Amino acid sequence: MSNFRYSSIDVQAGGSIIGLNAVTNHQADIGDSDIYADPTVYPDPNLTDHIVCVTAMTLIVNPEVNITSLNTQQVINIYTGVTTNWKDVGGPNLAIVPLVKPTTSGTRALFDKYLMGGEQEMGQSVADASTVVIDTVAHTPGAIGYVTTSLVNSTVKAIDLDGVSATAQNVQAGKYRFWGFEHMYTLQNGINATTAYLDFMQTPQIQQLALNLGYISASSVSSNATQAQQASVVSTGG
Amino acid sequence: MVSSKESHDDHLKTEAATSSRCRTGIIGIQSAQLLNQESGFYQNLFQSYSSLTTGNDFLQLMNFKLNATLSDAAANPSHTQLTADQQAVQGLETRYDTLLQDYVQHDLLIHNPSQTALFDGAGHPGQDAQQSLLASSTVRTWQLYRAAQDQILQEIQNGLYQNAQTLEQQQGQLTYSDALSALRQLIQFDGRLTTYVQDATAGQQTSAMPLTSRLAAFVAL
Repeated sequence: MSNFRYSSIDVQAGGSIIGLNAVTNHQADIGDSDIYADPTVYPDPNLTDHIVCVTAMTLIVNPEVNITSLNTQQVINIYTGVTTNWKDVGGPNLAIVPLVKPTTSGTRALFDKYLMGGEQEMGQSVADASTVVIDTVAHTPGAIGYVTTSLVNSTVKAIDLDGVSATAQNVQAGKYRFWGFEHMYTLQNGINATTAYLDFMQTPQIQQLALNLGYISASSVSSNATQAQQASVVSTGG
Repeated sequence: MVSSKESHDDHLKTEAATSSRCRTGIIGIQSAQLLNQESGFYQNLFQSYSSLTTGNDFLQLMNFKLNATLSDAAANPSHTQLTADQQAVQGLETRYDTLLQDYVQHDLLIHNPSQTALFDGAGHPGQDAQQSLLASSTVRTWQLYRAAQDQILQEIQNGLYQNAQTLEQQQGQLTYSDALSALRQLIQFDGRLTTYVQDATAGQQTSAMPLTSRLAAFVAL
């Protein structure tokens, strides 16, 4: 990166699909995304995936909700409107307020694929920003949402899924399945600064920084994790 | 009568010639090793590339067959027809799964440290790690698609056509596009490795060049 000291990096937020659109429309050199580029939507053969790390997602609830874990079926029931009160899943007599991210959200895509198993989400719409979800859950009695673990703070309570916490160890061991690869997509346009930046992302210092920020080193997620995940997906019918 | 100086010069020339033959021999061996290595790389890459592109065909065929099965199911076919459809999809599942497992167990760069070292030396470090990640991503997305597909087939088998149709729209299509996307990225990555092999071998040939030049000068003396 020292060869590019006069290059600047402009970062814009917006969500996974925004990132993919920006790179494929030549508005950005790199498009960050939680989701895969659907080949029918992004057919450019030069679109290249660089996996940089893994992020675990977790369910969070308002601190007044005194439960510590939900199983997959309970989550599906909550998000499909079958279960509407916390007392039905061992919590207080309080209406459940499920928060739903927009369809452009990568977190939502992972939630739908790995937890909902094809069921349609229902609930109160919320902006595609984990900080907004956290803030809304913190200030809404009975609220439940899903966010990346790296942003969870003490204003909300993270709960386990099927009795398993969203930790790096559980993801690596294949015990926890609500996680995703973090992609950086490029168009392989031969821009040296982009290549240098992508190489920089893989250096030990940046991978360590990612760990410090609550992300998981991609190389630490072995095939065991994906193998074990298969078993859990099948057993829950997801 | 040969003077002692002439004898000494002859001795030096003989030594030089012998040394030259030895060094030329070493270069010859190095070049042969390089060619063998390059040839081995291309052979491995070609095999894995062919295997993955075949996998791409299986995956697309599987999705096509699943949709055909759904169409058949809508037309109230015989139990025999549905079973045949289901077996066809499952047969493709098994073949694709075997192909992927085989690739992961044998074709990854992490199983070939000498290839990895060559890429590192040619200024393309970390290829083994990125390839392994893309392979993990391909396996993970495939497993999710397979689970969804099996569930869709089960719904059809149970006579719940509408459920199967909904599941296909809400889970099958999503997981299929992920599986296809991940596989194509892996194929694309392996395709790019051929360029890196060329860089690596070109780099080695260049580094062998000055030695050849020095030898030529020495022999001319």
